[in-house]
Amino acid sequence: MRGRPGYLRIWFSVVRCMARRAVRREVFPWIALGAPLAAWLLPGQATIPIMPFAISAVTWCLPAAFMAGWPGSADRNALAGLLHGSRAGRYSLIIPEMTLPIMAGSLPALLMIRALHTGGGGIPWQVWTVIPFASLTAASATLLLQTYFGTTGNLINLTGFMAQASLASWSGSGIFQLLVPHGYTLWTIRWAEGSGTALHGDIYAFFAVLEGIGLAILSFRVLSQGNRGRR
Amino acid sequence: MDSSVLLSTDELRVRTGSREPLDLAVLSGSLLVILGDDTTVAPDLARVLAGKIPPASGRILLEDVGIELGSSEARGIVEYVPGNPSFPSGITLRDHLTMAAAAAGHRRKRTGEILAQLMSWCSLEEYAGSKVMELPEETRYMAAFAAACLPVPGILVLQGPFPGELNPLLEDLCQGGASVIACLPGLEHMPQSADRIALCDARDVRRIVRFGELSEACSSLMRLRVKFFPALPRAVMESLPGARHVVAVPGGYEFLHRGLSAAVTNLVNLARANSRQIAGLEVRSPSISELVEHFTAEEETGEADLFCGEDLDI
Repeated sequence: MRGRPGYLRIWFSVVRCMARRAVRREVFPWIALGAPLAAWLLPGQATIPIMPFAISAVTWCLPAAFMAGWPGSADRNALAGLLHGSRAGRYSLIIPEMTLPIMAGSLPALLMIRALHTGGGGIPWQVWTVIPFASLTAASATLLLQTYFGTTGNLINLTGFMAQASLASWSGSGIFQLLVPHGYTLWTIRWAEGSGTALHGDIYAFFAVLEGIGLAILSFRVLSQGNRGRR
Repeated sequence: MDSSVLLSTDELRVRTGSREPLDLAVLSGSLLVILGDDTTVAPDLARVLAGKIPPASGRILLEDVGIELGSSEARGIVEYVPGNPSFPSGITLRDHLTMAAAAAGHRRKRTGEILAQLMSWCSLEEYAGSKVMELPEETRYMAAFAAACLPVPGILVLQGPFPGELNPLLEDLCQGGASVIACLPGLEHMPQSADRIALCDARDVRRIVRFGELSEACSSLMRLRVKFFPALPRAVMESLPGARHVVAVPGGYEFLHRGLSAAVTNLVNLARANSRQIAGLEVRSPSISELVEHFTAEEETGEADLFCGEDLDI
């Protein structure tokens, strides 16, 4: 007797497949560790606290490392071939492949922010909000930039990430900070710590939610079209 | 046999350059072969019928109630096995089939039992713990076939060529009431249980023939190449009963003959009568383009019977 598709079993299999592929790729440590290290080497970084930047790097780089190269990969196409035509539908593939990068970015970041604030004082709600939505934005932005711009998209992504760490005067302007979603987490944490940011934490939280949801919708569309006609 | 229509096409054009729309009906329990290599429309037609690519125009309807292919109701009715199936790297055959079973909606408690039966049916038990991408090509095809069978589809579209071990399994499926559409690049891959064969050229399905008709055509268009030792004069070769279009080729002759057994008997007699030995004998089946030419040459003006009307009792 057949019933509803075993969504949990499918999700678990997709997550396992995606994680296995990601950690085997040489580019994974470069994105997850190399990019934050490169940003940290920018002039002046060593003079400011490392934790806000580290949390921001985890929030962005881990989702990007999982998502990089995944949509067009042979593994993803094979899963799509199996799942897109089935009763489970294509969303049983898309949900876990979006969830894994988001969890990989936001869970360690939330634990780190918790550890950072053990000394007393609450963590503002803006920080709790920004972190998961920044991870969602990271996963979606990586996917979309890669899909529409290829290697150029990856470079744009890396430039955005490096730019958030810049201590140049232009990086302190409100317009710049809103245009570069890579830095929402960093600036929200700095705002929470009272280290003078261009905008209020509410603005970062608002834009993180807005961009996160908007880009996620676009990503769902891209991923759901993925397999049609490829074979 | 239940003769209900499982899949039908309505004014279907696979490619924009098609000369005539295709009106095709696939009956329950039948095996339709789409015959054509990669240069023909055949692989695209198979993908279109499986819903993998959209047609240039026209519709594909499923079952008598007219569910349109691509709609949510159609999901799980048609399954597709690509010619070179791919699998996620590092996944074992059992894990892959477990995921396919979950996607097909089989309950977790019954999955083990179902997979055991399926792997036994497909002779895949010994590979259960092996990584699928490391298996031989033919075994990988069987694995993809097994996964495609898990939703218990009404129509199975296969992109061939496929391993010979699959033929009895396809017969089983047809006996169970499912339809199989197999896209094959040559006559040598043709399963015995094929009912109808769609002959394709670069733009269209040119003709749909029955297995018997194709068999007869192959027999009449069969080309034999024979070599004698010592060489036989052409005039003697031309005296071979039943031989047509005798041409000299390096080391021997090539000719057409209506029947293989008669041709071989006559050749042996000819060689014996002239104190020769047969040094080589090769039988060549006709190419798809020759078959298309053969069938379309005798076609009268008017629309071809692509429905095979008498199957439908109409």
